[in-house]
Amino acid sequence: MQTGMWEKRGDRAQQRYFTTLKYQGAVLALIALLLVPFDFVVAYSALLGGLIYLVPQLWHAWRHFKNRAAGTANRALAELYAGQIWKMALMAMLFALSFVLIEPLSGFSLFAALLLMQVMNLVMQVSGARNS
Amino acid sequence: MEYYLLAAALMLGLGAIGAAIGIGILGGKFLEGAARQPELVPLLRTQFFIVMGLVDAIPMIGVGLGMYVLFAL
Repeated sequence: MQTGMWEKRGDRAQQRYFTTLKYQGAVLALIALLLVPFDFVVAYSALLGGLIYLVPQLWHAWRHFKNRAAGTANRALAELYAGQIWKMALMAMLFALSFVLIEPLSGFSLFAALLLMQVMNLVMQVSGARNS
Repeated sequence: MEYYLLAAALMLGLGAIGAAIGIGILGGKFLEGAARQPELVPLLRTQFFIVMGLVDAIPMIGVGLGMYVLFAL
């Protein structure tokens, strides 16, 4: 019975995580749309910066929550570490591909969007954990 | 001498050290918690996943800047 209670809390944390990702996607799309009339390069650079953050996060979350119930603590830890390594590799590859293949690119808006996504994640997770 | 390569190497390397220490400590605490209360594993697993995302935030910005220095400057 107690295990069920902790699983419910885990489910709530999972819901909060996906809600955060949805908000981040919405804010990113809004920012990119608002920037289009001013400067197209800045707009797509911001969109790219946000996507570089969001795509690996989504992939990692999908992988984690897909087989959440399975296994012991050791196996869970190994899976989480493997997922984290792939997430970092994917992010580094996306960075490299964007800088090599896309020109012109506004580095400032790319990193500003990336930072905004990181800060949004931090604030929403911490405030959500406090309120739950 | 091409100092930008050194700068990129420092950004990537120091970021990797920071992330490795942070995630290593996190993993150790996860195993401690799971050993003490095995029924908490589903919750701890999700919490670990979320906090890991927060720990790797700054190193990933370092990786991005390192890539920027290597490929875009």
